[in-house]
Amino acid sequence: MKEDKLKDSLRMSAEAYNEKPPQIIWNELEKRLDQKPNHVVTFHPWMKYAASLLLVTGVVSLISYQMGYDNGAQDMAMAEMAGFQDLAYVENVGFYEKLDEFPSDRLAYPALPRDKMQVRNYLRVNKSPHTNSMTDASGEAVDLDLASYSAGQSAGAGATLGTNDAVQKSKLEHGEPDHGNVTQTDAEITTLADANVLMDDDQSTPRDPSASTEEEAAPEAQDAMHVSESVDAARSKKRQDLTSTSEMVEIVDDIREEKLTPISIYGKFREDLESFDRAQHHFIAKTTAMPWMIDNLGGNSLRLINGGYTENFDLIALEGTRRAMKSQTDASKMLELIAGDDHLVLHIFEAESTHVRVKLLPVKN
Amino acid sequence: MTESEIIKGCKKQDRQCQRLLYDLYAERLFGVCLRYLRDRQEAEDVYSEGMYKVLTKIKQYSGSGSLYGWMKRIMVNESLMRLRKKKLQLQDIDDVSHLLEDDSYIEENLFAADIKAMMDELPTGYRTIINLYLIEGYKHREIAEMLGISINTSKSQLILAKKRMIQFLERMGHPRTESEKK
Repeated sequence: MKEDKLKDSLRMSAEAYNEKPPQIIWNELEKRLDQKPNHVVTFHPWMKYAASLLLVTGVVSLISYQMGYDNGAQDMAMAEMAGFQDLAYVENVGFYEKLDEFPSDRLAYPALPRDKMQVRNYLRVNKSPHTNSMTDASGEAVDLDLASYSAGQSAGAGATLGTNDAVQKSKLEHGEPDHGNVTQTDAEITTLADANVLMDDDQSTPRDPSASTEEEAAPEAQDAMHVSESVDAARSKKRQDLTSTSEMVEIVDDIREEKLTPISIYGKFREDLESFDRAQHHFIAKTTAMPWMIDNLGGNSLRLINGGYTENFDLIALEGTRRAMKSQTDASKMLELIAGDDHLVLHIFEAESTHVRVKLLPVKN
Repeated sequence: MTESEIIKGCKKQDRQCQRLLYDLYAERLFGVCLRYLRDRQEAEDVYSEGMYKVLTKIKQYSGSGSLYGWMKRIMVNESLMRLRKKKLQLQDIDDVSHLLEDDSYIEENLFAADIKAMMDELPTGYRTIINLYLIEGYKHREIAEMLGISINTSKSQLILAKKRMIQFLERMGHPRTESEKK
């Protein structure tokens, strides 16, 4: 109570301090107020969420763009969005020659530097039936570069074979024929003969040209049957010789590592996936402009037909639904088939710097 | 023009309303600064800064309390900030029970004395506590938070300030009786 009185006394006496401030204070204050902008931006709590959202969106866009650029051809969506859905149209004969002259303005992406165009698909070969790692003749792991392998086959001695280069060179120096890859191929055929979905092992089943919807493909398919019989016989003999080795070949690297090359081709294809799944005798994939036909010759061989272009390929490696194949007539050419649930991806490799890629997408009409 | 109209104008940065508000409370608010800060120049600086904040942040005034109370709080805070910069020294005494004094002597003789002179004579720490506790009406807990000290320090400073006031009154010719000394 007494303290309250003291407070009252002091509060009343505090008025003794009240006095008018100097005028100069207002003048200075007015100047400061004049310098202050009238439009004051008020920060609202939701602004931080909006800013965060913008930031995240920007970062995601940047990363997506970067990934799309890095991954290149594997993401077909971008190419399709850009309107390159029918770039698979190539004039008939001289397929690869035409590709070399393919106008750049029809390409999905600008040309990459030459050194980035090389395709690096390594085959890992395991000669032991109980392990999944690949070994060479001396038991060491070996990586084979598909593109380099192709080039090596076409160029003969001196080809680089990825990390297997030293082994191959050693073989060459000792006068050994460079057919180590062929051995791997045949062993792969032996191992995977039963599991092959795309290639039908039932060679007694006659190929029915009428099953093809493309009439122009039938003559080539008929011819291929005669050619394939002799090829199959030779291959069967090799398989018997290599039955005990049971080699396993698998493609180790992922398709995501592939680089887009200027001559990559993209297209929407009409295909009969059901017949593909049932491993019927041949399988048709057709673009809107030009038919592509994959004709199963049996014995893990197939014929690729595109208009006037025809080429036979033998299976050399398999991993799941991915198959690596080698041209029967041109050792520098390799073919890779990747069967997805609803699409088929086809790659053609030629030498080191050529990469033809076709993605077959089902189009329901 | 009413106070609410002045506030409305100030929120729109109307210079005339700002001037009206400034004039309306200038004396009292400047007096607050003078009570806390002994140096007049410092008081003017603090007042100027405080008024700038009042006029630029008047949108934050909710209107629930009195406008003067809101403005005075700004002035007090500005004054305390200035004192903190000068490293306000407050003696911390944990046990203040033996210092408890009867305020009756001060009350009886305070009117007769020059309170302003007495306040000016008090050390800054004492004067700050008297201003905050006795004049502004803050509690010791609030003062402790505002000054960053313990509650006991706030209490002990107040008691020491009162002792100093008694000494001042005695010096001014108001001797205490024996009963008041007890």
